[in-house]
Amino acid sequence: MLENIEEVLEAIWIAKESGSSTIEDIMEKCSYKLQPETLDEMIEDTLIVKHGDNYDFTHRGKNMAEIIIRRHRLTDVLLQLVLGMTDSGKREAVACEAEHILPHEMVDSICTLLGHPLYTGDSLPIPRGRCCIANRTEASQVIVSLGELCEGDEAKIVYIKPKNHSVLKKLFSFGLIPGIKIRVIQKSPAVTIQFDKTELALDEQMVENIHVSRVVNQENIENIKRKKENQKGKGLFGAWRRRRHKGYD
Amino acid sequence: MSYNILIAGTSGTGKTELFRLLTGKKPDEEQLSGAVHDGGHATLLNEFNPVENLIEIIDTPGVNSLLDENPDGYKLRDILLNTDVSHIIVMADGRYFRRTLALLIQFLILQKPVSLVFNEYGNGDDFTEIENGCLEGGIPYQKFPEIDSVKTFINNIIGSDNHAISDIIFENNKEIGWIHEFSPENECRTLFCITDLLPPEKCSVIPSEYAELRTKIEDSGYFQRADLNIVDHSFTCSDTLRKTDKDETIVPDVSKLGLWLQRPLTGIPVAIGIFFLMYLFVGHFGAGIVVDFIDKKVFSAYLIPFFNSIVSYIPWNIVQRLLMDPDFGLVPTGIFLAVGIVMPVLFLFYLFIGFLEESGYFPRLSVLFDRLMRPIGLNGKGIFPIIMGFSCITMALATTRMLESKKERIIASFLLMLAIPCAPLMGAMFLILGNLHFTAFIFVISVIFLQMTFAGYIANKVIKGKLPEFIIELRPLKLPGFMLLLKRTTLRTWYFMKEALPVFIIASAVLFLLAEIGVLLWLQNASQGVVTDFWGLPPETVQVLLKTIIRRENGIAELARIKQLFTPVQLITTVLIMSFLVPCVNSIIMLIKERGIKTSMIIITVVLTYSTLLGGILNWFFRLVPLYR
Repeated sequence: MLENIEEVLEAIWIAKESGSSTIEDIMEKCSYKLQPETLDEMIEDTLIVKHGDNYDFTHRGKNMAEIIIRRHRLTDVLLQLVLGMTDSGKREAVACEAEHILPHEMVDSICTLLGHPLYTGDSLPIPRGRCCIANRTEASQVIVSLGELCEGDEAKIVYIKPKNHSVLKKLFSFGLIPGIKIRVIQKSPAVTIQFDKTELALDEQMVENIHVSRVVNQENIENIKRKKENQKGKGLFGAWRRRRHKGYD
Repeated sequence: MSYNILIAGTSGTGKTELFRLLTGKKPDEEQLSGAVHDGGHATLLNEFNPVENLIEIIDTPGVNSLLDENPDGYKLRDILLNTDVSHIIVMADGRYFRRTLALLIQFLILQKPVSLVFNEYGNGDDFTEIENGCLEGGIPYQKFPEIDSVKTFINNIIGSDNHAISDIIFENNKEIGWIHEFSPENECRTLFCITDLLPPEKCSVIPSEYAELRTKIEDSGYFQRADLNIVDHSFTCSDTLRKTDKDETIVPDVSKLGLWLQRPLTGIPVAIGIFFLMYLFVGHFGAGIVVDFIDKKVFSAYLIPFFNSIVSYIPWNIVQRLLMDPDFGLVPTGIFLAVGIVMPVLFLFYLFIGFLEESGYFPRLSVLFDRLMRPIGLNGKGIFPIIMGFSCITMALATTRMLESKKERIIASFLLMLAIPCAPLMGAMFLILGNLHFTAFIFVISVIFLQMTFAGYIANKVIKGKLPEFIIELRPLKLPGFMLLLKRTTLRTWYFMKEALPVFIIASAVLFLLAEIGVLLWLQNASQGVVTDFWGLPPETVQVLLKTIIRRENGIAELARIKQLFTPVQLITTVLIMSFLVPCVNSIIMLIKERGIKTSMIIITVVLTYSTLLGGILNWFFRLVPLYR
C-alpha cells in the first residue's frame, strides 16, 4: 500500500514537472493502474489537494515525493556514471526498486559521492538534500567496524568477518546475527554493546571484525553534536578525542 | 517404560528451581556453583504424578543454543542422544525470551515435543511478548507452577500436543525439514553430525548421503555452514514469531552503576573496597569475633571439659589420647577445628561470595580485569576460576573447563595450585594475621599477588598457544534475595562439611599414629635442614605442613592452635608457604582428573619447588629487613 502511494506521489511529481497534473496526466505517468479512489484517500491523508482539475502537493506530500524522486534519480546517476550502465530501461528498473528501499543515510552518501549532482543524465532535476545544502565533501563511510562507533551510537550488523568459526558461532548463539540493531553503551575497557535485551562485552580484536552500518537518526546526530561541543577546548586530549570521533558533520 | 521430561533453557531462568520443586531433590554442589553439571536426574514426586507410569525429570545445564561449542552444549547434546526424551520443557523468563524461543525452535527442528514454561519470578517482567509469541507459533505454554498446581502442570505437559510444529519454521526454509526426512527418529544424531559436533566415527551412516544433506543445509542460508544457518534461521523465526521490528529503537535500560563497575577509574576503587569489606566481614567479624566466641565461650568452657569427663571412663590410655590429645586428638583437632573454626568462617565467606555471584558483579569484574589478565596468559574470563579459587581450589579447578584454550586451562590450574588461598585457608589466615599488625595482612596479600603475576607471566612465556577472543555476557545487576542466598550458602557449607569432616578426622588419626610410632619425629629431623635452617621456622611446622597437604584448612587450623611457638615473622612465612604449597589431596585428585597425569605431575613438581624456594627467600628477606620484629 505504501509503495503504491509512493508511486502515485512520483507520478504527480513528474506530471507537475511537465506542467499539467490532471488525473489523466497522473494516470499516464503512473507505473501501475491508478484507481481514482486512491487519489481521494490521499487527499484525506493530507498528502495532496485538488485545485480545479489539477492535483497539487501539500507540504507533507511534497516532502515525501521529494525523497522518493531524489532516491530514484540519484540511483539513476549512480548506475549510469559510476557503474556504466547505459541501458536506460534497465536503469529505470533498478531505480524503481531502489526508490522504496534505500535508507536515508545511504542516499546522502551516494549524493556526496557523486558530488551533489543537480541533474540526471537525462537532464531531469534532482531534489536537493540536507547533504547538498551543507555542501558536504566527505561521504561518511556507510559500513564501518564496530570499533569506530562512539558511545551511544546505534548501528546494524552487516557482516561479521569470520576470523575463526567458533567465535562467529558464539556471537550467533547470543542472537547477534546480521541485520540486528545494536547500541554501543561503553567503549573502554572493553566495547560493550546492547541488542534486544542482551548486553555483551567484546575485546578489541573481535570488535574490529564486526562490521556495521550506522543508523543515523536525529537523536544520534544531536548526541554527537553535544559530545563534540563538550570536547571543545580540552587541549591535547580533546583534540585526540575529536580525531577519534571524526566522520560526522 | 518411563516418561522422561527434560528441562532446558538459558542459564539463570530457574531450571534447577523447577527441578527441585518437581522432584524434591536438593541441587548438588556443582549445580549451585554454576559449574558444568551432569544434569540432575530424579523421579517426579509421587504426590504430583497424575499417571501410573514413572515420570523422570532431567535437569540440563544452561545453554544459549543447542549447537553451543562449550562443555554445557556437549553435555546437553549428550543427554539428548542418550535419553529417550518424551517431552522437553523450555524455561523462559521475561528477559531472554528471544534466545529462549530460538532454542525452542531448534528443538522443534529436531521434531521434539516441547512446551514453554515461563518463570514470573525470574528476570524481566513483560510476559505479553511470551504469550503472543507462543500463541503465534502454536506452542503450548504455561506458568511456573505453584506447589498446589503441580499436578495440573504435569497433566498439561503429558496432554499437550506432541508435535507443536509451527509452520513458520519450515515454510521459509524447506531444507531444514530434510533433517527429519533424512532419518526420522534420528534427527539429533543427523543434526549433530552435519554440524561436526559429533566425531565422525559416531556418525555411522553412509557418508555420501550425509555429505549430500550437509551440502543442502549449507546452501540453505547465507553462511555456507550448516550450524550457522540453523542458528540464524532459528533467530529469524524467533523474531518473526515475536513480531519484532528489527528497526525498533533499542531501549537503553543499562544501569549506570554496571558501567561504572567496569571502568578502571571507578571500578578499581570499588573492587578494592569490596575486598576490604570482605576482610572486615569474613576476617575481622568471622574469624575474629565469631570464632573467638565459639572457641572461648563454647568449646573451652563447656564442650572440652564435657568430652574429657566422658572419655575418662574409657579404660585404655591410648584410646583416650587418640580422642582427646590436645595435639592430635580426634575431638579437639578433628571435629572442633572443623566445626568451631572452619565452618563459621566458611559460611560467612560463602555468603559474601554468593552475594557477589548472584548480584551479577563478577562479569563486570572480568571486563575490568580483561587487559590486566592478558600478561599472565588469561583473558577476563580467567578471573572466574581465580575468584572461585578464593572459595575452594577443588571447585575452581572444575570451572577451568569453561576456559576455551588448553593454554588458559593449564595456566589457571597452575596458578590455582600455586598461589591462590582458598576460603578455609583465608579464613584461618585472617585468624592468625588478625592478631598481628594489619599491615601483615597487606604484606601477605601483596606477596601472593606479586608471585601470582610473576608465575603467570613466566607460564605465559613458557606455555605455547594463543589467547582466544573475549566475549562475555553482562547480566543486569540485581540485589539477591536474602532467603535464597542464605539457603544456598547453608547448603554449600553443608556439602563442604560433609566432605571435609571425615578427612579432618582421618588426618588427625593418621598424624596421631605417625606421632605414636615416631615417624613424625623422624620426619621433623629429616626435614630440619629445610624447615629450620632454610626457612627459619620451628620444627613443629612439619606437622602443620603435613596436615596442610591432607587438607589446607586443617593445617592452618593446626597452626592457629600452636601459634604461640612462632614469632610474627615465622607466622607470616608459614602462612605464605602454606598458601603456595600444593593445596590438598582433593585438589590433586581433581587436577589429575582435569589435566591428565603428565601435566599434573609437572604442575605439582613446579609448585613444590617454587614454594620451597619462596620460603627460603622470605627467610633471607626478613633477616635483612627488620619487619614485624
